This record gives sequence, C-alpha cells and structure tokens, in this order.
Amino acid sequence: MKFIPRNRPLFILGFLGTSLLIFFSSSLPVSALHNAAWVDSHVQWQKASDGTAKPTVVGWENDCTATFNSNKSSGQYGSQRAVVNASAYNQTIWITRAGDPRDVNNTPVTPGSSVNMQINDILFLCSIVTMNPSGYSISASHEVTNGNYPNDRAPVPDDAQYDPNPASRYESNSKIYSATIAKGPPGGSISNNPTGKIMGYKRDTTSRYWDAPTVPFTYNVPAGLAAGTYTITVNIDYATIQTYHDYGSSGTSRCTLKNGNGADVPYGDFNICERRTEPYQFKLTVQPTGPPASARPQTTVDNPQIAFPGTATFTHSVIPVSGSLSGSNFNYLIQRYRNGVPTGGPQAGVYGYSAGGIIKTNVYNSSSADAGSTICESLTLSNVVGGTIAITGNPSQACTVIANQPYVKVFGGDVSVGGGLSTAPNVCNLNASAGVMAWNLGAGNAFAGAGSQYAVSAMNDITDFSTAQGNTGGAPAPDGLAFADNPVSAGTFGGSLGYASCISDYYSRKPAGAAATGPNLSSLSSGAYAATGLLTLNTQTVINPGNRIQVYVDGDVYIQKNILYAGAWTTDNMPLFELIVRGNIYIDAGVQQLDGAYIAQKDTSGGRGAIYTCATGPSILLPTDPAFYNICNNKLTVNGSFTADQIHLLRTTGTVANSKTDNPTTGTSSAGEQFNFNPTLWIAQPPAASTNGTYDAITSLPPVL
Amino acid sequence: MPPLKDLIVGDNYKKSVLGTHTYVLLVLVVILIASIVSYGIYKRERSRKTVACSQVIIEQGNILNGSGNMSAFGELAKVIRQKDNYAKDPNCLYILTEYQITVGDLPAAKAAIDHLRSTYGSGYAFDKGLDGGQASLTNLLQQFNLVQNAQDNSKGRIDPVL
Repeated sequence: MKFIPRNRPLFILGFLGTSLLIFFSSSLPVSALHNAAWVDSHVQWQKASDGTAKPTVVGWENDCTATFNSNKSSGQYGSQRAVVNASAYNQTIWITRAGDPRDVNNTPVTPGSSVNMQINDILFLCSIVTMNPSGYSISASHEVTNGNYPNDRAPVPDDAQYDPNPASRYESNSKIYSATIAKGPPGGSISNNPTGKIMGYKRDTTSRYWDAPTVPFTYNVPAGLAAGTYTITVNIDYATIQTYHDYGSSGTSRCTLKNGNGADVPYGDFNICERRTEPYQFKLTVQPTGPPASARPQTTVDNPQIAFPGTATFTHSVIPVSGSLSGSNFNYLIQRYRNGVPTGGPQAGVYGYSAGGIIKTNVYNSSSADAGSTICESLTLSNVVGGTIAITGNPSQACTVIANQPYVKVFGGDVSVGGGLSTAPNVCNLNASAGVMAWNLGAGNAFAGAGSQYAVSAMNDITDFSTAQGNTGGAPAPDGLAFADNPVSAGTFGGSLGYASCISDYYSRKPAGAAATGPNLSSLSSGAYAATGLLTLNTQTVINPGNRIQVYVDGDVYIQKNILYAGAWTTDNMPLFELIVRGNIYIDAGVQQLDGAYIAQKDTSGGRGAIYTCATGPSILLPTDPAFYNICNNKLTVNGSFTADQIHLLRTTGTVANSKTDNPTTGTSSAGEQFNFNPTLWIAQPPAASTNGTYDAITSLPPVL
Repeated sequence: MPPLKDLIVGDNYKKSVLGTHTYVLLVLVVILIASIVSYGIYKRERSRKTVACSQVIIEQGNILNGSGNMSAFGELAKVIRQKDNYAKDPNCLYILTEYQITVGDLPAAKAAIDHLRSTYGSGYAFDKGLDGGQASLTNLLQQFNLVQNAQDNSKGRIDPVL
C-alpha cells in the first residue's frame, strides 16, 4: 500500500485567497461552525500597526496562497499534487486566556493570582479546490462549498477509487511532553501543567477550520509583581502524528521520525516521532491591589567602635513601611565616608526586593592608619524607572569609630586592686567591686596585650588582663599568677580573691621636720619635704645618684615634666624619689617618664586620692573631649610604682593589636602606660627608714611575687 | 700629500655626504616619532569608550529584559534615548535592542543587531551586567530568534502533508 501514489497524475489548482473566504462566509448558507461569527470568535486576532485588529485568518489565506505560488514556481516539486501537498494546511497554535481565543481581553491580573490559560490549536485548510486533471475544469463534486470540503489532499481526485475525493488528512494529535516558561517575570510558574496531554483536531467536513479542543493550564503570577504588561514566553515540547483517512488498512498514521524522515507509524505511538520545542507567547497586564507600598532605607553596623585590625559590617536594607514590597525593584546608592569625606566610588545598582530586604553587606577592615577615624556608610533608595514605591528617610547612615585600644603593661611587678587605705595595721575597707579590666588578644596570640609579668590579685574579676606574661616554664598566662586562679572563661582570667592588701597610710609617715619645697625638686638633697596646696612641677626633675627624696603634699600635684633618675648610679648610691600626695596627682600629657614611687591618698574629707596619667592642667581631662585622643597620644613609662585610691590610665597611644611583640626581657612594649617595677624601690630605703644599713648580697628567690 | 684644492674638495664632499646622511636620519627619526605618536593617539581613541548608560541603567535593563515587563522597559528605553551619545554606547544599544525584541519590534531589532555587528564586531564584549554576564551578539540573536519563532508560531505555519 503506497502512502501517496506518485505514479498517478494529479492536477490541483489552489487559486483562491481571501476572496474565497468572503465567498464562503457571505454567499452561502453557513453552519454554526464556520460562519464569520465563528471565525471571529475562534481565531486569534492580530493587531495591525494602525491599531486595528482583525482575525489572523486573513494572514492564513495569504500565507496559503503565497506558499502555493512559491511551491509552484520553485520547480522543486515533481507534480502538481506535490506542489499542493506542500501547501496543504496552515496550522496555528497559540496561547490565550481561558475562554478568549481571540486574545483581545487582557483583563488585568493581580500579583500572586492564578490565571487560567489555554492552548488553542486550529488547522486551516489551504487547498480546497481540485481540478479534473483531464480538462482543468472543476467538477461539482470537487468544488468547495459550505458543506463540501472534500478535496484538500485527495491523492487522486478524479480517480473512481477515491471518488468523491475522500479526505486526505483526518486527524492530527500532538502529545505535549512539557510546557516551561522560557522568559517572563522571575517567580512565575505553571500549574495544571499540560504535560502528557494530547492536543489535536479531527477533520471537519463542513469547515475549513478544524478546531482542536483547547488545552488548559494555569499561569501563576509572582506575588508582588510590579505593575506593567509582561510578555511571557512558554516553550512547548511536543511530538505530532498525522493520521490520513482512507489510505487503506495500514500506514494511515505518519510522523517525522527522530531521524528526520517521514514514516508510517502506529496510531498514537508518539515515542518514535520527532519532538519539537516551539516558543509561544502571551501577554499579561498586572495591576497590584491594595494601597501603594512605601519603604525606607536602613543602614546598620554591627560594631559602632572597632580597633585595628578589626572589622565592622555595614548592612544596607530596604524596610517596608506600608504595603507589600514583594517583587519591587529599587535603585540603591551606597557611599562610604571617612571623617565625613566620601571615600571610593559609590556602589550603585538595582535591588529586587526579597524577604529581609538586605541589599548589601560591606565589611570594613580597619588598619593602623584608620586610628581616630570615623567610617560611615549611607544608603539612598530611589524608584527604578516606572516604579511607584513611596520612599522616605533618605539617606540612612551608620558609622563606626576606629579607635586605638591602648593598654597597660606591668613589668617586674604585681598589680593589686581592692585594698583600702589602712586605718590601723592591716585594717581597711576592701572594695568588693574592684577588678581589673583591659584589652587582651587572648589565647590565639599567647595572651598578648594588657597584663603583668608577675601576679595580679583582685577583689573582683580580672578581665582581659593577663598574669605571668612572658613567663617561660613557670606559671602560664593568663591566669597562672592570678589571685584567685579561677578558671579562665570569656575573657576572665581569674580574680575574685576575696582579700586584698591594705594600702599603708604613707602620708601619716611624714616627718615632723619635713622642709618646705617648691616646684624645683632637682635641687633638693636627700630628705623629706612638704608642700601644701597645689604643687605644680613645671620643670624637669632629675634625682641625682645617692639622693633619696620624699615629698609630702597636702593637696594636688600637677606633674608637668618628666621626673628622672640621673643616668649613672650603682647599688651604693641609688637614687630614690617618693611623692606622697594627700589629694590627686595629675600627670601632664607631655610627660613620658616618671621614676620613683607615686602615691595618692584620699584627703581628709575622704575625697580625691586619684592619679590621672593624662592631663593638661591640675584638673580632669575628660575622654569625651574631642581633642582627648591627640592630646594623650604619648607613652608614659613609670620606672617605679603607682599607689592610689583610683588610677586613671588615660594614655591613648598604642593599641593592643601591636602588643604581640612586647618583650619583658628588653622592657619594650606598645602599651600606653608601662610600669617597670625595679629594685630601686626597695633597695634604696627612704631617708627616714629605721634601717639604714648596706646590702651584702642581693638575689631573687621564688615565688616571683 | 694631495693638493690643497683636492683636500678642500674632499672636505666639501665629506661634508655634503655627512649632511645628506644627517638629513635622511633626521627625516627617519621624525617619521618614527610621528608614527609612535599617531599610534598612541589611535590606541587611545580606540580604547576610549562612550559611556552613556550607567551601571544602574544596565542593571535595570538586565532585570526588565529578564522579566519581560514591557511597560517599565519602555520607560527605561525612553530614559536611554534621552541621553547624549546613547547611540555611541554599545551597552545602551544592546539594552534598546533587547527592548525591541521584548515588544516584538523585530525589524528594528534586526537592524540594531546588524548595526552592532558592523560597528563593534561579532566578538565585542558588552558590559558584564547585561544578560547576567552573558551579553553578546550571539545571545542577542538567540533572543531575537526565540521571539521570531514565537511570532511565526502565532501567525500559523504551512503544515505540509507528511
């Protein structure tokens, strides 16, 4: 059985065009299926450039005619029949809203809604007239009329075997393998997917329009989609089998195989046929519901103050104020500032809102050059083109201050806090709240930073202040010499001893015959001296070898210049300087070295008794002073000790980040205040001491406390 | 010892030859310098790009093209066309071409693609913010073909007998 009897002559003329449509639709009685109204309501309408719309069928006719003419003149077809076969049918598949195959009602949809869609499929019969091959005349039975469309592809139109030209194509079925969105708003999806469904039409002997039942599916509009008209492209993957009628008992169904060749195939055996993926588009107009949304920018920083190296993370977000921002887009502009001056170019872009609204996070890594700087980042939001979000609160800003973390270092000695001024031997008020709190780099850096080479005892916690620093082979840092040696946890390196040594009432030891002194201490010889009221030491003091000087001051002392031991001395003529103050001691910001013992006790009213390591006069310099950082940016080295009711360590130079190279052996550190406790404080006895002999031998024995 | 006259002639001859050589050398040096300068200017001019579309516009174009929002894309296209020298910025033209494809103005899109190809070459590297970093004439053509196919499908296809 041959599919197409190519050895039989066939002459078919496909001459008609739009005129036939007019003829058929207006001059003949029509059935309900193919009158003009049916056409108008069942085929897609195309908009012309002038804005008018008309059914696509006009284009179909033109395409049929043009293709026929082209085939006829091309010479590539061996027979008239082949010519017509190649321009026999015009098939259109298109996607529209459900129930609107014309695609003229693009009723707005709302974000998040589900839109019922349908796939339309119509075959339009191109060649509807055949000719008697013997005489090119159209027999009545071959003529296309309203009720007679028999000749679309009759293999041998005038052959009695087929008379009256039984239909050629009878049925077409396409199995849909998938329907996927190729392009469209992010988040859009298809449900009620037509995958697996058969889309097809059957011959309609009363019409040139063979209409397939529509295939439904649902398009889900993304929630929060911005207003606008969207073009959505759907790729449909399908395989088609054409079934031809009256060709005999076999070979009536054909398809293009996967190898590209046409072949007879079993009815419905789509798997062996070629699959095609074709794009189809539809448009949706989205109109958000509810009131217009509004939003504001927000910039936060996790650390409002950092040291170096340190990090601060800026987070820039869009915060909904009203309505839903889902699906909205914003222009954003992020600018970084250093001390109020823009640094680097702005970060600009478009942000598509999603839950949380975080646009961007920027990490700032500080360096030593940043010390004292304020780093800010700001965020400015604006609508994208066509956006309608009401935006308030522009710009948002957050800042971090890059600050030194100055620290204190104690070499050769201990630290004790919490003991009060003795009122009787070993009798004093202990301060249960007295602890030590500083900055330390922790275990990752061998507890470099604030700390003591030897012991620390505290009534309360010892926080980020290590003991036993640089102690090799003995008690380990950070709590090996902490009293109490409680377990290390979260920066607490011990403490809470519950006991502290009382501070001797040194001022009470003032000799009755202490001579009065002024600010020039360098000229003094060994002995005890006294002053009342404010004493300003405004010249550099040099204590010469062998001089052992005690100065008792009933009032405040303002140390404006260094107090030094002269350079060359031996154990036989050690210098000693003790400043015992019943009041406050203010140390000028420019002072870099103090040798000796400095004691500040409470005055008779129970006030004062503090040592301030940075001042610009005999008064307290507050850290909130804008110039504080620069004023106090000098290191203070104390070759001796401080004893006071309160010690305010105010030097801003150095930072704990640079403490890793501190060395107790060489006595070097990056600390703001460094104490070097040394034997001069106990070898060289003050002049009023009861024992005033000489040493035969000096050695160090454990424990090193 | 040659006559004094010969010596004088010889000196003149040497001076003449030396002068000619110097002149030729000078001309060559001038030509060389001019070539270097010209090449430098050429390179500088060639590398100098007209930037009319900022990164924000590029990013908006990327988003709108991806979403198929014809309305907003149309607004963006207006903004771009109002910029000076947008027609000399290949990234602007790329966005506008995508807009034409999105709204189905395929003849204009085809002309724009041809213009981009002839002006900047097939291998031109467009901004990485376009098409998720995949912007190229090839990609543009693929978008064009997708819509072309979709339009063809919606108009109907001659379906020959198998």
